[in-house]
Order: sequence, then C-alpha cells, then structure tokens
Amino acid sequence: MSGELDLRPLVPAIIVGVTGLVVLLAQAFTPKDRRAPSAPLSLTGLLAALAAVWLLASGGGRGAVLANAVSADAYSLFFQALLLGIAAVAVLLSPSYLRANGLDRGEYYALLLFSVVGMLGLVSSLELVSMFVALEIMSIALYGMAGLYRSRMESQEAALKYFVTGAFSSAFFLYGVALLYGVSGSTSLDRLEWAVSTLTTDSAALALLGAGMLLVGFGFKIASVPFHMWAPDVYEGAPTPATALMSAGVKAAAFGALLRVFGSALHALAGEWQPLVASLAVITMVVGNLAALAQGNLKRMLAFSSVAHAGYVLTALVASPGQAGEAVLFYLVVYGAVNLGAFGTIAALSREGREPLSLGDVAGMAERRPALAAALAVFLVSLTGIPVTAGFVGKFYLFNAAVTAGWVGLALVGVLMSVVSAYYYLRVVVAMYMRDPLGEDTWARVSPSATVALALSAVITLVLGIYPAPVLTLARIAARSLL
Amino acid sequence: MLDDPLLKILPFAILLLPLGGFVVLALFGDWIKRDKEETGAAWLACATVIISFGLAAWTTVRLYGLVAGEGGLRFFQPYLGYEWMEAGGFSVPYSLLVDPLSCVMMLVVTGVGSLIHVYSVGYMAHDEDRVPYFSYLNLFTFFMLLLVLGGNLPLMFVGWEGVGLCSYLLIGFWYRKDSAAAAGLKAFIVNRIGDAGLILGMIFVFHAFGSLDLVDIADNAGSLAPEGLWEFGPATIAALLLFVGATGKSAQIPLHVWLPDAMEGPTPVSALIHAATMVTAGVYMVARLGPLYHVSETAMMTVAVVGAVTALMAATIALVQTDIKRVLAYSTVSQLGYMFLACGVGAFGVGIFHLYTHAFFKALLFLGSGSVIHAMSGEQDMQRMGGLRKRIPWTFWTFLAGTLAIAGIPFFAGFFSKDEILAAALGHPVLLGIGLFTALLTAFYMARLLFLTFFGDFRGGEEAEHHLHESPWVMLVPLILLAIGSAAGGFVKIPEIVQPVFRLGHGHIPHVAWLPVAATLSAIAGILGAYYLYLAMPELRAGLASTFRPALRVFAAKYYWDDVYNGFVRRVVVRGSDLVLWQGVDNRVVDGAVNRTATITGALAEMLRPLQTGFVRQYALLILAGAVALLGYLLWP
Amino acid sequence: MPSYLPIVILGAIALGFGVFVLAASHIIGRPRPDARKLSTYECGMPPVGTARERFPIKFYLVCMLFILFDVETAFFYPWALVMDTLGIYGLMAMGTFFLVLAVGFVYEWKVGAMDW
Repeated sequence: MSGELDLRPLVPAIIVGVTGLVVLLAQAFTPKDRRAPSAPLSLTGLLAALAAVWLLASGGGRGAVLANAVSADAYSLFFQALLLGIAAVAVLLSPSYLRANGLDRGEYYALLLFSVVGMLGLVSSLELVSMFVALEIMSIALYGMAGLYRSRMESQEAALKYFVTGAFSSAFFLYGVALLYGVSGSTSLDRLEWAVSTLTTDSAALALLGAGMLLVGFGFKIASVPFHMWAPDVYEGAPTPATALMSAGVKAAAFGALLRVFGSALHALAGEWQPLVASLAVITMVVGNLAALAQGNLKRMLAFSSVAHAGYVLTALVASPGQAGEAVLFYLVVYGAVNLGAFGTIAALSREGREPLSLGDVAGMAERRPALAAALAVFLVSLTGIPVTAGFVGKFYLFNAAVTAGWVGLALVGVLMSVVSAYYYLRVVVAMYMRDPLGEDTWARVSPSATVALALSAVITLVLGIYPAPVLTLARIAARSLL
Repeated sequence: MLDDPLLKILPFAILLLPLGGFVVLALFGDWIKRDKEETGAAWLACATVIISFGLAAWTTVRLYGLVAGEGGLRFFQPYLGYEWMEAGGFSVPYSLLVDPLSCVMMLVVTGVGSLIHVYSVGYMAHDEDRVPYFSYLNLFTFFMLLLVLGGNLPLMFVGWEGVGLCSYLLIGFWYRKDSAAAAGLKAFIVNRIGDAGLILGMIFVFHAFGSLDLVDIADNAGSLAPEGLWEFGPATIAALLLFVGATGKSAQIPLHVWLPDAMEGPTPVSALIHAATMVTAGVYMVARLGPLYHVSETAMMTVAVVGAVTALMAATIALVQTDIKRVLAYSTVSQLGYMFLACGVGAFGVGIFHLYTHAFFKALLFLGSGSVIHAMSGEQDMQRMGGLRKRIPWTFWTFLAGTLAIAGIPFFAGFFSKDEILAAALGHPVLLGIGLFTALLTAFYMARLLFLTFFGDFRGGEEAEHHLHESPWVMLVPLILLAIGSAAGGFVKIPEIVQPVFRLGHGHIPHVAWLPVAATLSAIAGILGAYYLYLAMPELRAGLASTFRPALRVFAAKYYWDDVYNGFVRRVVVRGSDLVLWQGVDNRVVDGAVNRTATITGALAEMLRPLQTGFVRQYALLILAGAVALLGYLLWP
Repeated sequence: MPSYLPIVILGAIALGFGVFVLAASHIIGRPRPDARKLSTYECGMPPVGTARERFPIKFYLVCMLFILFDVETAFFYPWALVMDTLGIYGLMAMGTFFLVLAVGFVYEWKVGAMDW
C-alpha cells in the first residue's frame, strides 16, 4: 500500500498542523519571563503552507488520494490559498491586540493554526466523514479561542454558547452523514452523487432527510438564520482578531464544503433543496440586516452584518453550480478581506480591555486618525456594496447568478436589504466624518504589523473593486473543477 | 472612421484630470494650504476642471471630424484595454462612449463646473475646510464625467453612486449644523432606494439584451417587440426599474423629498450638484436609454406623467416658500419634471435641450442667490431682504437675466427649450395644459422672488444693511458668463445635434404658431401677477390669501409628503406591528426615532430584538425549530 | 419496510428486559429500608448540600487529561490486531498519532498542568 501513499494534497494542512505543534512546544519551553516567538513562527508556517499550495497549483493540482478522501483540485487549492491568506492576516492583527490586553500566550496561535488545519481539511474533503472530522477540528479549536479572553465574562459566555450550540448542530451534521450513507452505502461524495441520481422513491426520503440535516449543520457554521443566534454573542465575546478569523475564515470554509456537497454531490436533488436555500437566504438577509440596524455595539453590528452576508451568498446557490461557484468564490475573497479589515480596525485600537464599540467611540476618527478612518470607511462602503469597492462587484455577481437562474424575487430582496444595510454601515462613517470627537484619544497606537494587515485588506478591497478580473478568472477555474 | 489617435486619449484625460486634482488635494492638501494667500488648493482644483473643459471642447471638435455613420451619428468608444468584470458572456470593459449626447453633457459638466469652481474660490474664502471642500468638488466632477462618459451601464452606475457620495459629503459639509448632517443622510437613503431600482433594472437590461454596452442597447432596442400600455414585457420592466433610479437621483415624485433639504449645503454645491449637473443624471439616463424607453408605451407614459405632475406640484410649493434657496430648489424639481415630460412624450433631444439651458440659468440663479446670501451675511429669508437692486447691481442684473430665462421670455434660453417641450406635448392636451400652467406658475414665483429680494425697501434691519456689499470679482465673473449663456444659449440647436443618438429618425417636432405666443403670454401673466401682488398692490394679497387658504395650506405643507412618510412609519409600521406582532416594543425608542426616514426599518429591527434573548437553551430550541421546519418542508409530499 | 423489523424486535426485547427486571425485583424482593439505603447515591459525594459549592479546578483538569489519554490508548488496540496487514503504512499513521499525543503530553507537563 505504501506505493500508493500520496500525501501531497495534505502538505499545506500538515505544515500548518506541525507549525501549531511547534508553537505549542515553544510556548511550553519558554521561561515565564520571556515571550515565545509565536506570531513569527505562525506566520512562517502559514506562508510556507501558502507556498506549498502554490507549488501544488503550478503542478496542475492533484486528484483524489487517500481512498478518495481528499483532493487538491483547483477548487480546494483556491480555498486553501484564501484560508491561508485570511489566517495570515489574522495573525498579523493578533500580537498587538494580545499584548495590549494581556493575553499574549502561544496557545492562541496554536489554536488558530489548528482551526486552520480544520478549515483546510473541510474544503478539500471528498468524503463526508473526513469532512466531519475537519469540521470538528476547526470548531473545537475555535471554541477554545472564543474563550481565551478569560478575564471577560463575555468571552467565557461566548465559548460556552458556541460549544453547546456547536455540538448540537454537529449532531445534525453527523446524522445527515449517516442518512446519506444509508442511501449510497458510502460516505464518498462521488458515490453519493451517483446514488442520488438513481434514487428510488423509498430512498428519496432518506436522501432528502440527510440533505436537510447537512444543511442544518452547515447553516450553523455559516450563521444562517435561524441557526445564527450564537454569532453575535460569540463575535462579541471572542478576542477581536479571533472574531475576524471566525467571520472571514469559518464562513469561507463552511461555504466551500457546502457548495461542494450541495453543488455537485447533491445537485440531482437541486429541485428539492433550492427553494429551501432560497427561503433560508431570504430570512437570513431580512433578519440579519434588520437586527444589525438595532445594534448599538459595533462588534454586534458587524456580527449581524456577517449573518446578513451569509444570506447574500446563499442567494447565488440557486444558480447552476458553475455560475454559483464563481460568484460565491469571488464573494468570499472580497468578504474575507473586508471583514478582516473591519474587525481588524477595532482590534488595532483596542487597549487594556477597551475597544471602540459605540458610535461615540469612533466619532471624529477622521480628524484624529485620517488613514485608519479612511480604511474603515472603505470596508464599510464595500460591505454596503457601493461601486469602486469590491463589495459591489461581488454582490453584482451573486444577484446576477440568482436572476440568471430565474430567481428574480430573491435578487430583489437582496438588493432591497442592501439598501437597508446602507443605513447602519454609513451611520458609522457619518460618526467618523461628521461628528466631533468626544473626549481624549485614548486608543492604542496602531502597530506596524496591524498596519500591514489593514493596508493589505484595504488595497485588496479597492483593487478587486476596480480590477477584479484576475480573481474572477481564478474563481471560474476553481468552480469549474467542481463540475 | 476611428483612426483619430487623439480621440482615443482625450476622453480619458478629461476624466482623469479632476481625479488627479482630488488625489493631489487629498494627499498634499495640508501642504498646499501653507502658501501665503491660502488659495493654492482652490486654484489647483479650478485649473483641473478648466483644462478638462478645454479638452472636452477639443474632443467635440475632433468628433465632428469623424465620418458620420448610419443616421448621421458620429460616435467613438475609447477603450482602456481592460475589463472591469467578465463572466460567461457577460463583460464590462473599461470603455467610454463619446457621441453628441455625451459631448453636450461633458461640456455642461465641465463648463458650468469650471465657473462654479471659480465662484467657490470667493465664496469659500473664509471657510477653514477649503481643502476638503475643493477636493470633494473635484471628485464630484470626476464621477459626474464618468457618469456621462461611461460606455456601459455599470460604469455609468459607478459615476451615479460616486456623485451621490460626493453630494452627501457636500450637503453635510457644514456638519456642525445638525440639520446639515441629517439632510445628508436623508439624501443618501432616499437615493439608495432609487439605486436599488437601478441595479435591478440593469440586471433586467442584461437579460433582455445580453449586453450592458450603451451602443449595443441603443442598436438592439429597435428589434424588441413594442409593448403597449399595461403590457409588462422585459423592456417595460427594465425601463420602469431604471426610472425608479432616475426619480431618486432627479428628485421626482415620490422620491423628491431629499432635494429641498439638500439646500443645507454650501450654495455653490447647490448650484453645481443640485441644479446643474447631478440631479439631471436621471434625465440623461432616460435619454441615453431612449431607444429602450421608446419600446414601452407604459414606461413612456409613466415618465411623462410623473414629470408633468412633479413639475406642477413643485411649482405650487415654490409659490409659498420664503427661503430663497428653497424656492430655487422646488423650482429645480419642477424644471426636472419638465425634462422628464419631454422625454416621456418621445422628445429626448428636447429633454436634453432643457437640461442644457437649465444648467445655465439655474446655476446662475443659485450663484446669484449665493451672492445675495453673501451680501446679507448668511441670511436666506426673503422676508428680511428687499431693495437690494441698488446695493448689489451686478448680482441684480445677472439674476434678472436668469429669471427671464427660466420664465421663458422670448429669446432667452429657457424660452426655446420650454417652447420645444410644449410643442412635443401637443398630442397630449392634459400634459400640454399642465405644462402651460406650470410655465405661468414658474414666471410667478420667480418674479415674486425677484421682487421680494431686489425691489421695495430693505427689511433686514440697520445692522444687516450696514454690512451689505457686492461680491468680489471671482464671484461676479462666473455670474456674468452664466448670464450670457442664459441669454444666448438657446440659439444652439441641441435637439438636432443629439437626435441621431436616439436612433428614432430625425424626430421633427411640428410647431404651431400659437404655442410660443401662448407660452409667452402665460409667462408675462405670471410676472404681472407677481408685480401686482408684491409691488404695486400688496394689499390685494391678504384677500387673495384668504380665498385660496386651503390650497395655500397644502402648498406650505409641501403636499404632506414628509408627513405621510413619517406618519406611515409611526402609525402603520410601528403601531400596527406593536399591536399585532410584539406587545413589548419600547415606546421611548420608537417615539424618539420616528422623525427620521430610516425609522421604518429601525422599528422593525427593534421588534426583532426580543428574539435575541441571550439564553443558550433558546438558541438550541431555535436551531431545532429551524431543523424541523426545514425537514418538514423537504418531506412534504 | 421489512428490513426494519429486527430493529423493532431488538427494541421490544430491550424494553421488555428492563420492565421484567424491575417488576421481578419488586415482586420477589423484600424491602428493608434504612436511612443510608434510602439516600441518593452520588459517587462518594455528600448528596445533600449547596449546589454552588466550589472546589479546585484541578479536579477537572486531571480528570479531563486522564480521559483524554485513556481514550487515546484505546485506539492502539485495533491497530495492534491488524498491525501485520497494515504494515509500514499503519506504523507511520500510528507513529504520527503517537507523536501528536506526545507533543500534547510534553506541553501539559511543561506548563504544569500536572503539578498538584
């Protein structure tokens, strides 16, 4: 068997995992009065993994290996590159935040890297049990990260709530896997695809139940309504750079797996699950946006906004897999950059347990921190979906996919909800640009590494708004490998 | 035909100059400000727009060097060589469109824009935030040029959103006034509603034509099957959705409520953005997509009726306003209605003609009012003015030219364009009647404004009288140039120039001899009426006011639009949902917030808040409920 | 749905067994209650008292670590049974598994999780 052993598709995940172990040991062997070089180690590991993805991609990718369980096709490589990039930016945002809030421990980085291992596995799994294991690796590390801010009640609350509801939803996922195994006699996606396309009436009910259960599990991870309730609490309580990783990375990874399962393996059932996904999209957009309107807390507002954005992405899933894939993949890139930026801005200013969370905290920011205010304005404008930022191009593709598939009403809701969202995003911009500052500027100085992270996010947001073609082309190639 | 190398470069240069100005001011503004006179930044901004204007004129000349194509149309599409978006049969290149229509628009934008930039140098001389002001003005010019030059709908939309953003920044420019920030937000939210229509319309256009390129749309619209009244085919739906966008941007019913509030911004901004250029974007878009609109009778009728009703309604509101800028704001809404009326009856070229003459006289009137306000040390209430004719003569004479032009006195610019609109509406007696009556009202309220401000005795008190002064020459020169335009601009035959763009034949409008006479008579009647009521026999006013009290009350309340919107929020949405859906909505939150447009959704959001209790068992319960609903749906036979 | 019949039978047997045992002890048994017998059994803890009692978190830590390594060891048994058939592939997989476990152990030791 050793001759068939090809681990190359797993190399990026292995590199990240080993880096996680190294970071853990480095922390353990560092004397109490010294600081372990966790952040540089993590960054190196992530960049090395990125290089491995690059090498795999330039080698034309890899087919399925390990008994058809994982693959390094264009689709997984696209996602792996995206996730590694997101993680690298999150790592850049972390050191100053952790130091300013007295959380600077290597375990944070180790957990971050382990969760990335899970994400990488999630998007490259071709088999449901591997997918589930990857999902759990990702989730358990994140439960830990959410609770790392031990001195804050909100953080402990976040960890507990995330864990309890997460375990609950995992059960649904696992049950769905079991039911689909019952249909196809295999957990592999291509066997499942074949089984689903030759269904009898008896097994059709099983397959539908299984698909529904999987949808609940995924719905939880992408924070779609009604499985979203954890999101605001967890996003608010977790250390802010971890929130950035959750909102950008988890969502991307979960959508990656969701699209692979529903877009290709279960596509024969599309007639059944598409109306469902469409209704999930509608309530997610409506509830997410309206709830975001009522938030006075910036982090909670962004949390509900991330719920709303899950709804926008879901609208594209009603299109043909190729078109949906292209729109979704591009949007996830955009969304990753923008959300890292938005949460990153909050994290970069955080100091001694305080963060700029209310409109009063950011009032007059344009006068005191012109560059930072401009960057945050770019992110918020992009979230609103106004042209010249990537958010517009992304939304245009999502809604265009929905309309092409004949779901005009869905696109209509999306566009109208974007209009609603303008109010709560721009409220922040108004506060920054059109209000006088309140009190002294006691926020932290933005560290060089955070500056790099924020500048990178802002540049990506703008460049993808003006010249999205290269990323769109990559997204198209990646989506095609799904078919 | 397309081997003119300059034409490939010039349009991009025109476009990028103001953008360059913005970038330089945004990055180095503080440094430039340190020069002695502190006007370096201002003149830099002016220079970019003036050079743009020169290049635009040059481009127009070069365009006429091209060989005319089918239907006498000369056009050129400069292409940057890059795609903005591209996906399966769908591509949005960075390409512009230079044809007679975009040339007219480009010249208006840069021409009037340059004059207003220069005027601003004087008007904003005492303002601390001049550098951001001029940088926004430059950015606005860039986006406006992109709007009129963009070769496809998405690029046009970029400009469309961009001008909205700049307008919002400039309305709220004096943000330390609360009303200014609120007005800015209102403008933006109302416009977002329109923009939603625009995006959806764009998607429908793509699915009808398979392209978003403006030339493709114009060329292929003719091959669509005509859609009659109440027939909702693809063209009608697309055109109506796009028109929603136009009503938002061009302040037509029912989305007109933001424009009068937008007068909180500095006056040159009102002149440039809220009179001459941005608010006419809707007219430009409808005219640009004229061939598409022409396919659908329903859409054309909607445009014409909305235009006519808006023209009449806004004119009546203008009758009773006392704030000089608000009179002009409602007058703008009314004149925009005229332009839509022209487009709706099929005379797109005439709509553009009126847009062009309106740019002259309305910019002139706004700048003139700015000069008045400047002289009055910031006072905008006409009841406190009077007799300014002798104190600020230059302002008065130029203002007079603008008033005669908008009133439609023969041989001034407004006369020609208004006459053409009325001639185009000849086939629709009701619309024609509304047009003629609105012309009378227009003459009346403008004459009223003129008499209240410049004639009679000064009513502002001694101290204000002491401060009265004529504006500096940087402000007067633009006024004089615009006055010349308002007087003579009507002799340029814009409709004939732009007609080939619409692919609708030569579009000859039959003229009847009595119409100009009737229009002139109604204008004179309006002016005479105002003369008797406000100068000769003011005592008549009281009697007349009591006779028409119910009507005047409606006018003064602006037809209750704002009240209806606010009332809708308060009664229907908040209270209704309070009773039906949730008993426990916090009344303080609701009451405190109803007066804002965005509260509809805010109130809904408040109703959702009780759902987020924070109890993890309820989270799990909701997941379970969701799962049950989901599976239940899937297994439903 | 004949294929589900065995499951139904199994369920019936399980239920029947439980009912049978309880019923049998109720019928045959001779109840001789005393205070100790009647009190709730709670693994050696006093069953009555405040529920908000605090005790050192180390109990949890040790317990969790024990369960962790205890359960991980269980994975070695199935491997031991098929070690020959899996060959070098199995050895490598198990080695990796063991390595990760060992790193966890070293970490736990070094950060002092086992210092009482």
